[in-house]
Order: sequence, then C-alpha cells, then structure tokens
Amino acid sequence: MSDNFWDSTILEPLRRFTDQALTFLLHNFLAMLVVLLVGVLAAYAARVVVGLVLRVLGFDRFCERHGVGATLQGAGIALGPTALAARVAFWLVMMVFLVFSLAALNIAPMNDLVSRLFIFLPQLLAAVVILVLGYVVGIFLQRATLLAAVNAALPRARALAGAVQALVLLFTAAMALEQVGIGRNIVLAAFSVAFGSVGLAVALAFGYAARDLARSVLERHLSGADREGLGEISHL
Amino acid sequence: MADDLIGADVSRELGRIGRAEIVVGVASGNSARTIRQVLEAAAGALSSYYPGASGVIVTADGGSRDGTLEAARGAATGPWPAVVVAPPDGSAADRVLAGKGGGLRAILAVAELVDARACALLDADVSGTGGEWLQRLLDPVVREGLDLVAPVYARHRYDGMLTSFLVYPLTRALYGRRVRQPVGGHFGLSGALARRLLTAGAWEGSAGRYSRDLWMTTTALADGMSVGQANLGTGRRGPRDSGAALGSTFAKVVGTAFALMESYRPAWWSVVETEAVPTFGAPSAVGVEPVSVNVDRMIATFRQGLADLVPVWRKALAPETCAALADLAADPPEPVRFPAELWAQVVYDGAVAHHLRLLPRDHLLRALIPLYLGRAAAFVMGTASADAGTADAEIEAQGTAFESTKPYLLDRWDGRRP
Repeated sequence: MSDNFWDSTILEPLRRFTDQALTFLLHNFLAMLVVLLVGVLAAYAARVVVGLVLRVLGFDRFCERHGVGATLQGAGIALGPTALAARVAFWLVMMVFLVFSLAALNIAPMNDLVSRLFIFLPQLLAAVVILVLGYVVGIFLQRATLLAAVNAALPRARALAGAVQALVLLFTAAMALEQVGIGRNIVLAAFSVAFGSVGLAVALAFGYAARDLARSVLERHLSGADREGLGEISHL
Repeated sequence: MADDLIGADVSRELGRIGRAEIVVGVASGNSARTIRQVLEAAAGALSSYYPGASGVIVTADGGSRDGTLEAARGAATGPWPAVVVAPPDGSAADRVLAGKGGGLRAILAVAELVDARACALLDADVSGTGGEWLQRLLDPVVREGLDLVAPVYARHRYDGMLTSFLVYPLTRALYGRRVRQPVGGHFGLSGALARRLLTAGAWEGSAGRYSRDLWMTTTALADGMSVGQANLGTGRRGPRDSGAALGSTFAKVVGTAFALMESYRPAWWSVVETEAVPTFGAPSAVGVEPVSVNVDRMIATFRQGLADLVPVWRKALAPETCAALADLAADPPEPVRFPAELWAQVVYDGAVAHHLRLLPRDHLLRALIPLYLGRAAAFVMGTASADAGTADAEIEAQGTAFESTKPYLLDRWDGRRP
C-alpha cells in the first residue's frame, strides 16, 4: 500500500510533469529558437537589401538636401540616413519574428499578447512614417517661408519660419498620437484649442493691430507697380 | 505637326502664299494697345527696306482676352500677307501656344513651312517699334549671313541689372561670345536656326518668354552658329515690367541658365577666351529716361539675407564663399561692398548646387536673390555720381571676373571639390 501511495501521489505527477516539460522543451521551445534563428537571418538580409536599395536611390543625398542629415547629427546619431534606415529595417524584421517566436511557445496568455502586438505594430509603423514625413515637410515649409519672408523684407523672418515648422510638427505629432490611439480625446481637444487660439491671435493682430500694414501691402499688390518696393526698374 | 501648331486654316493660307524669304513674327499676349502699331510698322519696314523680297507677317497669340486678335486682324499691312495664329478653344494648339513663349514655336513653324531665309521676332508689347528696328535685325541675316541677331537697347544703367550682372557675364564666360543682352525680346534669326530651334526639345513645360529668349541665344552660341547684335535704340514695354515679381523672374531666368549649362556642358567646358560679336547700327544718341531705384530696400534685403540665410547658403555655397560673405556681414551698413570676383563665385556655386541638387532648386534660386540685390546695390552706390562710361566699365569688369573665375567652376562642377 505504501508503494502504491508513493507511486500515485509523488512519482506519477512527477512523471507527467517531466513528460510535459520535455514536450514543451523539445517542441515549443525548440520551435521558438528555430523561428528566432530564421528571424535573425531575415533581419540581416533586410538590412543588407534596404541599405543597398537606398544607396542606389541616393537616399543620403536626398536627406542632406532636406536637412534630415544635419538633424541626425545634431541629435548625436553618428549613422548616416541610409545606415540608420537599414538598422531600423533590421530591428523591425527582428521584432516581427520575435512576436512569431512567442506565438510558437503556445502559452495561452502569450497568445493573447501576440495578437494584440500584431494589431498594434502596423499602427506604430504608420505613426513613425507620419512623423518622418511630417518632419521633412516641416523643414521644407520652414525653408520656403524663410526665403519668402527674407525676399519680402519681412521682419522676424526666422521666427516666422520657425513658427511654421512648429505648427507642422505639432500637427504631425497630433496625427501620430491619434494613429496609435494614445490620449485621443486629450490630443484632439488640445490641438483644437491651440490652433484656434493661434488663428484668432493672428486674425486680431493682422486685422486690428496691423491694419495699416495690411492696407499698404494690399494696395501695393493690387496696383501692379513696384510691388516689391525696389523701384521702377526692370531687372531684365 | 504644323497643323497642330498653327491650325489647318492658317496652314492652307500659307500653302496658297507659297514660299516667303522673310517672316516677321509677332508674339502677342494681351497686347491690344500696341499690336496694330507694331504690325503696321513691320509692314512699312518691309516695303521700305525689302521691296523686292517675298514676306509674310505672322501674329502668334497666346490666348489674349483684350481684343488683341481683332486689333491684329484689323492692321493694315498693305501688300504683305498677314496671318494670325490663335489657339482655337479646346484644340491641341491651346496647349502649345499658351503665353508668349508658346507663340515663338508657332512663328518658327510658319518660317519652316514657307522655307524662310530670315525671320524677325518682334515683341508686341514694345511701343516705338520703328521700321529701322526690323532692318537692323534682318540685314545682318539677309546680307551678312548671320544666324542670330540679338538686340541691344539703350537703357538706363540701373535697368536690366540682372542681365548686366548675371545673364550677360555668365553667358559670356561660358560660351565665349559677348552678347550684351541675351534676353532681348526682339531677334533676327536665319531659316537654319529657326529649323534648329523647332526640332530642339524644351518646348513642353512652363518656361516663359524670358526663358525662351535665353534658350534661343544659348542654343545658337552653343551650336557654334554665327551671332551678332544690333543697336535698337531705346525700347520700352507697354507698362514697365517691374510689376513682374523679381522672385519668379529670377527663378525662371537663372534656373533656365543653370539648366542649359547641363544640356550644353560639352560646348562651354573648354571655352577659355571670349570674343566680341559683330554689332550693327550706331548706338542711340538719345538720352534714356531716368529710373528710380530703391537702393535702401535692396540693402535691407541683402543685410537680412546675411543675417538669416547663412544656414541655407551653407548647403549650397562653398565654405570659402560663405566665409567671404561673413566678412561682408561684418562691414558697416554703408557703403555696400560686393566684389565682382565674389559675385562670380556665388553664381558659379549656385550653378554647381543646381547641377548637384544640393537643395530643392526653387529654394536654391530664391536663396540667391538677396545676394543679387547686394551686388546690384553695390553697383548703384558705386556709380551714383559716375558717368555712363564708368558704369559700363564696371559691367565689363564683372564679365572679366566671370571669365577669370571660370576655372573655379570647372573644379567644382562634378562635385570633386566641396
């Protein structure tokens, strides 16, 4: 009787646990390791391909032209834009395969987490793309505003250009946060209030405080003569 | 292609006319005030100076809405056949004739169709076009065999500073011939050049009249054709064209000059010396009208550029150019100083930046405007109390500076030297 008790209470559960552990290790854990290994190889391949394609397309020069290169250096990032993009591609692929590998473990709470990550990843990627595009557009508009303001001899041209860039970045950040679903209501409310306030302030300044300036600018434009105040000369 | 450009009706009419040795083409665009006078003066000049020749007068309209077509059709051209080419609504010609730049293509098409030996291009907006203008533009082509005759107008020293300080010296240094006003408005062309231009590319796109003039002159120079210039006296456009914003004019003309450098690189790369081109007709003895120049505004824009645009200039201009501009920023507010060699360096840096696309091209061109205004202001202040000879000497010195600085351009062009 003592042998039966020992066997059924201690040894049998131990045997079952050992079987389950061995099954887990040999099947699920091994599958996870294989998926991770494939992921590392795929990530390296993605890094090489992305780097090659971007180098052929002249991505570094494009970024230099639009001020992205200088911004990266200012942020202390020693990598060039192509190298950085290749590294981002590496880690993106790595993250995807990491998620796959967690799914290969087949643990119930983990499966739930994996499915949530799968839904969130594309939104995160879209938000990153929005931020990058918004930054490039912000720099472009900032430079265009600066050049137009200087050529029109407007005072505080740099401040005006900076304000344009800040507005674009604010708009972009709001779009990115909205994309990933972080603080949707707060972002919407704050954005509306900020934009509305800026618009009202500009309208008051231009329409009331600077109405004489506005009148003289409009008169000059509509009269068609010496619009830029350079005199009655023909440059060509 | 001719029917697309000039319409089937005009094509048939020209077929009835047959061959014509001389084509006088007038590109019009909302020119009702002056078109009739220009056409009648052209007809009078043909009768006076080329009575035995066959000719046709062409008005190529770019979509006027002020009655230009009616005025053109009502012009009394005497024995000289006159045709009016206008874009019919909704036709393919509507696209190619848009603007005065498009009218040029139609005129060249007519010249090819009638196998013209010489073609005169007149600007419908220029009042005071006398018959002698036409003779001075056509005689070098008809009697001397030149391919292109550019105009030389007697102008106030402060008129046309973009031509005097950029277009002229750049064209001179690159293509080796000193055509004083490459963007003229009135030209004389040979039939050979007309055919060459018609078959060249660059007809699509939004290049305006000024760009087309520069393109014509540059093509003739780069192709090694014989080029001369004719003194036409004082020529005034209807309203002063200072209404045209400097920004868009500068971007179009300078952008065209830089773009043509890419197309014609083999032609200008090895040019070392320049030569004068034959000039016909005596310079005008009549004084030019004074013009008002707001030099304070020019200086203000220049100084503001020196303060605010350095980060943009650093992307486009060479480090030594930026350093030299920083020296100018340290100067006292007046008088404004802008050495001719430094200006040549700035323009060449701009051309290189345009070629290598170091910045979006529109941004690059607009970033150069404050520097142009600085150079112009320095000229105005330096010649305020000088005579015309001194002013002309300074313009020629600018041309010499472009020539002597050309090795710098060759060094930087392919991006080998930063």
